[in-house]
Amino acid sequence: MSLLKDFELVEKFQQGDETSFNELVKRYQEKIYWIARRIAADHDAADDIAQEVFIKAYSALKDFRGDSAVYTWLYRVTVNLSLNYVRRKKARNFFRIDDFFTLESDGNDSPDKIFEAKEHNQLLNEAIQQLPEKQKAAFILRYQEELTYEEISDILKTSVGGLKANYFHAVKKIGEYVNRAHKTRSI
Amino acid sequence: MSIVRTKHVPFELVDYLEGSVDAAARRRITEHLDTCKRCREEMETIASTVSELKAMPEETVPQTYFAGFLPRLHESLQKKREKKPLWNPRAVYVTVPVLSFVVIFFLLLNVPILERKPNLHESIRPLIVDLSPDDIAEVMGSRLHGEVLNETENPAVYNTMMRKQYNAAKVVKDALEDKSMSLSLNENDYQGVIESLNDDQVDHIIVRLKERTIL
Ligand SMILES: [Zn+2]
Repeated sequence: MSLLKDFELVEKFQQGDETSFNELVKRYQEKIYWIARRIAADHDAADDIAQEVFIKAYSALKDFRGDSAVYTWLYRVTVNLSLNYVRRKKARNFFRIDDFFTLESDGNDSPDKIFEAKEHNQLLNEAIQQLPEKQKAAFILRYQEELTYEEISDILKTSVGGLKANYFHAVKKIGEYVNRAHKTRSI
Repeated sequence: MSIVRTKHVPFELVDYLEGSVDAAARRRITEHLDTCKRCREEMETIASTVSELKAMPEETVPQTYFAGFLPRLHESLQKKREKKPLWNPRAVYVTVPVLSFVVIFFLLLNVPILERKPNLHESIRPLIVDLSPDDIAEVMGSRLHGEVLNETENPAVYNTMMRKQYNAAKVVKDALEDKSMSLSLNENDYQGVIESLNDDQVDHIIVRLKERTIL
């Protein structure tokens, strides 16, 4: 059996073939999970988001018209739900648990030395998380998901030029964040 | 010496460093960099970040997670279908006026519908009381978490968790050992202690945490 194209699966699903929907889920579940996971930085949240994306898709695909690719729609919903999650979380925890607990690391306490060198990868992850929304989305889709600018432009409804700028500034900011962290630590 | 006439290329530099530009673009960017100090400097500011990002280990999730994804999705879809009758128009016609009447009735009587705990640092309180068992495990270093820690091979994750645990435990320990609390704390059982806290004790910790944020 040859692999059906996305739009063919959608057509079959619209004609009542449930297995086509399952096929689409299997095709995109991992991609969608990872986009959500990278934006939300949390497994459970990413899982909720991925489930919600397909629950929405289940009704939306019934009247889906083939003038844009299915994955564009799926990824866009994923990015939006993920950014919403981050926003809600920020609002809810404007005192983040980390804020309390990093205040402790002000020296003197010798056991703290064990933790002195906060690992570099952790810092990079933090840096990605603090990016402004647009830069974060552009960075994750381009750098981590390796989509083309044209694809990302369809998903985020942003111009290619704007995306390239976002991408560059994202990487620059990540570097600045890491440098700043190293400096404050060595003082 | 030639004067730079081609377009500056900063927004292409990440792709350039990553090796994800085609041959023609690569040649054009290289030529531009040869003649443009400004773009070379831009490249230097991001070069180390790009290679550090590249060296980051890939995160993983167990394959069993994806295997279970579709069955769970169908369960949710099924539940959604079963819920639907609730929202049929007739039900809404009946419930909305009735509920509105009840709400207005209570408002007029000035009866608080939701009992609200007064004062008490509302922004911080949820931090403590809403910690899930997992959160508590993560932050306080329970035995459960100890096992997770032993399994993790990522030293970055390990160090961060240990650091959080240590600091969190210290904050809570200090707060609990305050004389007014008259609570003795077993070093190894923060989770048990947290779970047994009464409202006043939680509030006390909140006050302590708040002091710290102000400092
Ligand atoms: Zn230039």
